[in-house]
Amino acid sequence: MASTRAPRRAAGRRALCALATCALATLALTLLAGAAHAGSYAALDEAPAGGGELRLATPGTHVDPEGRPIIGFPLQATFVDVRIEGPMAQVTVEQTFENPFEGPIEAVYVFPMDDDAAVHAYSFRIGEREVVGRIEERDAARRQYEDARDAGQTAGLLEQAKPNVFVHSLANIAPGEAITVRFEYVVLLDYRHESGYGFHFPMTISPRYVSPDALTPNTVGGGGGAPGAITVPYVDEGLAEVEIVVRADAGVPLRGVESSSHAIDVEADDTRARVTLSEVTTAPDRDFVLNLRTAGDQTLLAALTHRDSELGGYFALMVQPKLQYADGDVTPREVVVLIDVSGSMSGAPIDRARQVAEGLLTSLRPADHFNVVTFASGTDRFSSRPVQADPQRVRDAVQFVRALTAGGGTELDDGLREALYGRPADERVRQVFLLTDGGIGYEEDVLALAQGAVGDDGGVNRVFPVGIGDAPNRYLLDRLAEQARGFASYLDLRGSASDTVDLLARRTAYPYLTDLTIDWGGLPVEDLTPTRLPDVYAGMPVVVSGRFDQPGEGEVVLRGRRGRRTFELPLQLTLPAAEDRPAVAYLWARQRIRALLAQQYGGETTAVRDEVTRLGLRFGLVTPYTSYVAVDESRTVEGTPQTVGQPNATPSGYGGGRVSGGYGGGSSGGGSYGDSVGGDLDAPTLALMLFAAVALLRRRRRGEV
Amino acid sequence: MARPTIDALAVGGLVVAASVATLEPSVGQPLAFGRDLALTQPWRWLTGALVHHDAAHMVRDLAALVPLALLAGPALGRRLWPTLALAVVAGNAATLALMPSAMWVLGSSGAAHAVLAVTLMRVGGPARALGWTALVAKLGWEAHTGQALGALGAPVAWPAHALGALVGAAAAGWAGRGAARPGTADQCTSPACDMDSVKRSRATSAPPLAASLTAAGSAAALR
Repeated sequence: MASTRAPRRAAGRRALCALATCALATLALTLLAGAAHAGSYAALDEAPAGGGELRLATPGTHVDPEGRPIIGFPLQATFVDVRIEGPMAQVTVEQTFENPFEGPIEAVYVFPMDDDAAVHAYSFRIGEREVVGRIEERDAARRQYEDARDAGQTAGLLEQAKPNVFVHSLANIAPGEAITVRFEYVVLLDYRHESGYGFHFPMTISPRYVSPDALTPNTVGGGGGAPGAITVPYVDEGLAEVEIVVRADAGVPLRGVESSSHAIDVEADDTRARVTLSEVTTAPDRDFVLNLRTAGDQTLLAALTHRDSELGGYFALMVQPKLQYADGDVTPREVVVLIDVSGSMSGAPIDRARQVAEGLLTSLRPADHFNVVTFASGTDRFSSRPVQADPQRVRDAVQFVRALTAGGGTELDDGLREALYGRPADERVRQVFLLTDGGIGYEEDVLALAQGAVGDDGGVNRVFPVGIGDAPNRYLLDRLAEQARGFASYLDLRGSASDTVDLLARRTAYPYLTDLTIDWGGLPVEDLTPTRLPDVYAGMPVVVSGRFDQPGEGEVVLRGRRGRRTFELPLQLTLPAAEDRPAVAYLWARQRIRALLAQQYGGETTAVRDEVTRLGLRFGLVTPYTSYVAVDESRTVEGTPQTVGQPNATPSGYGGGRVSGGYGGGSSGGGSYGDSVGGDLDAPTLALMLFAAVALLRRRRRGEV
Repeated sequence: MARPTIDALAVGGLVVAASVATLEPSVGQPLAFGRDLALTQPWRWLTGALVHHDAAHMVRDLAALVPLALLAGPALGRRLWPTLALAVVAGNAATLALMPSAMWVLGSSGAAHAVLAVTLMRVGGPARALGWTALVAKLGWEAHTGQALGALGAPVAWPAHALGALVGAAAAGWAGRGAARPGTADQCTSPACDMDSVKRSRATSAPPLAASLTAAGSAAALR
């Protein structure tokens, strides 16, 4: 008897120890969890790392005194007023924030922005009282905001997290009060459309993957402990209305005004149009895209100028040469179709990517070489090296593409390295068509990689990103195209893949303008940007901006090469003595800042930081180092404000599935919870469980258990 | 009613409850486990495991949890449900502590990892070593990347998985099974048996303690 009790007691003691350990660990973790929640997150730099997405850590649930969750988002309405003049758009955005709670709140809103926007004004209005913001160095602006917030004053802070992600904080909104925030920006229209221009207004941020190997400081995202992570809460419904009004004066005859993203109402005459959404949208889950088609086969020229005594003289020159091509002009090339098959591409996006890839492959000429490379958590390729585009190989590649599925991380840098590896044979030009939603948070790492890989390759590589989805990462894809001598295209989930393929195939099959220079004919221009003109593709314009101190008028000549032939285009340019169009000055400064920041994709430098700060302060622009702050010193609000994160809409067609969040309601047959994590079981785990079950059953059958 | 039958009925009830909680937001919302409600509404520590993101999430979790609970659960006997409860609670606490940006923790995969660990403790030989190696590697990957191996772009509650596995292993050790030893009385030879039945049978076959001591004392006295 003693012999049976002793082992039992030993087993019992072991079990008790195990249980005690678990209980103590649980207690300790519970206490830690409570301590971790003690603070609230109101600023970018305070947000802890975690997750694999672009995230801002804010409390996601608010409860009333009885402990019931309160469903309420501060942002009640957004109104966007767009005035288009030639190739430039001036945009005014008004956002109304309201406090539905019983105590004061601080509303924090992480929202998307056009990555080339020059944000030059900020203010907020409480009733009839307007408080105008002032531009300050970033740290100083934050300190002023926090001091005002802690003192109970209503204060606003507008900061840039990335060129296409801004953070707006509005503190001490009194209970039941509404505050309207207003900011203004100018931007050049997109010019990647055939015979026309495009305007887009981003309305949501697509989630971003951050590689565990990301090195760049201030990386936005998490995953693997990267610092400076920002979390964006998402919801499927219950967001504020968005109303958009566009008034366009193209300056040239308009052939059509269309939107590929929303239903619109259009009133138009020869050169002007007024556009509104057919219905105000309460599901801002996709960018608003407006296309203005212009008529005519002649070269388009637009020159905008500004001169005053305060800012000086500035100009923006846009020339869109119309060129004819012959069949003999075809460029021998090696084509790499680089496809993003990460988890965020699952669903409709990977379908679109397959369609574009298939279209590109079937448009190859027999003399082309090609390969297909895919990337997610790792990379894969159709062939170990590029092969000739004979019909059988193209058919095999199409089958390879059709069998692709999406899942895993987004190691875009690995994909680019695979695609750009080595030199093409026979002195061909390598064209990489990158099909992706750009859903990464380590953009600077990728841009630095592209800069290095393409910079000293002797001109053999070109990258043409195709942004797929309703909220692609345009900042990444536009900059990547710029660094890699290509151009970016975009295909939303309703657009025609075949139209996109036709445009890509046509533009990239023929030689483009290279070695471009402008002879200014003695006109007093300086500080030109870009300093070196990029290659220009068929149908796309040359855009140059600069400063001038003295008025003048004369002929300027655009020169370049088309294959082996020279190219010249004379133009007339007038630099006026006075003209009131400060938006041109803001655009010049913005382009200058963009060029400066491109110098530090591999890491920040003091010289660039100082110059960008100087430009930001002089022109009143939001930059990575300058922010707008506004403080209402006329009153204080009692109580400590509770921080409330304003969610974005889950991007339309997002394949990641579980980003959707909210406080109630649901889609896909379930509820939705903001900032949630799930203990999800993926296929490998289920396989492991099946393995364990089978192993146990086998032992039972053998009588061993 | 035999323990395995009770467990099967209870598992069936939980499947129904999870389905309703997941598919009907008005039911799920008061049950989901959220950071801000953890201290004021403590029942959510347990009921949160019933609430999943969507039907697909629920099906994946229950497809693992239910069969393994029915297969390996009898080895724990009455300890099955406390083990699952502890796995869920510990997993929630760990997730709150180690993933500060998580506002809600949904799903029952912490409990699934607990029964997986129990199952792995029950198998022996190379399968056990292989299974544990794979499980530890998987948990390490999840902790490092914040995503599951077949990630779909959203973070996974890896602390819940890790704590669930730890609790399951500890419970299996408590049950004193590990790899069952052939030829001993500590065996369940059919899926229908359970530890409680085995222990009851051992208790009835062992002589009373007092009688044993008297016999030993008599033997000593005779010497």
